[in-house]
Amino acid sequence: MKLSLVTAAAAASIAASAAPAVAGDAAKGAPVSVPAPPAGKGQIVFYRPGGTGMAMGCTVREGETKISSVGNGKYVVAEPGKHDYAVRSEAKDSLTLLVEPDETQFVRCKIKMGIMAGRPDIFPSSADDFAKVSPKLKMVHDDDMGQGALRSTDLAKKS
Amino acid sequence: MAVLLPALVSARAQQASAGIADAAPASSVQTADGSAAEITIPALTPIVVELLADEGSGISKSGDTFPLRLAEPIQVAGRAVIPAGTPGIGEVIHAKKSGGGGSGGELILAADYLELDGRHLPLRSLDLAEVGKNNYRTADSLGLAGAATSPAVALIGMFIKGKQITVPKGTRAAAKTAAAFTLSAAPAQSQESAGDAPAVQNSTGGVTQ
Repeated sequence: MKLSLVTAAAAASIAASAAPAVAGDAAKGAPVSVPAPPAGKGQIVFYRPGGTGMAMGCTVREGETKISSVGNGKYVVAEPGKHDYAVRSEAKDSLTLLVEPDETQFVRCKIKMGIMAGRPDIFPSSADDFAKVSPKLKMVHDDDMGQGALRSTDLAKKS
Repeated sequence: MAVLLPALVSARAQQASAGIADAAPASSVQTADGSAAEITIPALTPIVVELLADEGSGISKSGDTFPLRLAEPIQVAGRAVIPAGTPGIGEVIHAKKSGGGGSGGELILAADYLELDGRHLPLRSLDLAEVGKNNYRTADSLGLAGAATSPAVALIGMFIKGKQITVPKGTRAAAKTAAAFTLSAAPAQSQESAGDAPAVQNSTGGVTQ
C-alpha cells in the first residue's frame, strides 16, 4: 500500500536496543520499542524530536482527516491503509510512502523557519534514528490524536 | 545499506518484519524419474537487483517507473532457478527536490516485479530510500542569528538548501520476493552470459526470451 509521508524501519531493531520500553508505556530515558504491526499490516511511526518551532504542532493529515498532532518531543503510531498524508502551516509538505505488510516505517517531522510561522517538513527516517532520539520522546496524548492513530491502549494490546 | 550521501534515513529498507504469514517454504514437484519438475520460490526470498537508470531527488518524479534487473541469481536449495540479468521494473514512490530552510532531497524507490515469460514475480522491500543531507542546522543558525539583528536577515535561513540525492545507474540494492512463485525446474542460465536469449522456463514450459 502506498502512503503519503514517512519512512520505515524495523521494530525488531528497536527492540534490540537495551531494555526498551514498550510504546505507550515508556519509562523515562528508555528507548521506545514499537510493537510489530498485526500480521499482514504495516504501520508508521511519526515523531518529532526537539528543535525550532517548539510551540508549533506538526499536524499530520490524510486529506482533511487529522491523523494526529505531533508536538515537540512527541511520537505517534499510525496504522496505514490510507494514502495521502500531509502537514501544513504557511507551507505544505507531503511524503509518499510504500508501507508493506509486516513493516514499520518511520517519518520524522521538523519545523523549519518560515516568514510568519514555522514550516513543517516531513521526511523518511529510520529505526536507528528513532531509537536514538526515542528516549527523549513521549507519546502524543490521546486527545491530540485523530483518526487512524493508535492509542496507548491499542499498543499495549499488541505488545 | 550503502550510504550514498550522509543520509538520515533508509526508509523501506530497514523494515524488518516479524510476521511472515505468506512465506511459503521452498518446494519442488517430482517427476517420474525423481527429478524436480517445478520449484517454488518462497515469499520474502532475499534478492539483489541492479538499477538500469539514474534516479535522483532532482531528476526523478513520483510515479515514474524505471528498469532494473536481477543482479544475482535467485537460488533455491543451492540451485540457481532465476538467472542474473532477468529484467524487471521499479517505481519512484516519492521524489522531492532539496528545498529552502535546509531540507535535503528525498527519494524512495520500490522494486515492483521481475518479468519471466510474461509472468511477474512481485518484489518488495527494496533497500533504497534516501534523504539527502539537510542543512537545518545552518538554516536555523542563520535564522536565529538574523532574528537577533534584523527580520530581513532572519529570512536568509529560508534560502539555505539541503543536498540532493542521486542513485546512479548500476546501483545494487537488496529486495525480497513478495509472494511465492512457482516455475519449472529447468536450470537457470544467466541472461547476461546468454545475451538476448535467456532460457528461463516457466511453469507452463514456455521459454522466456
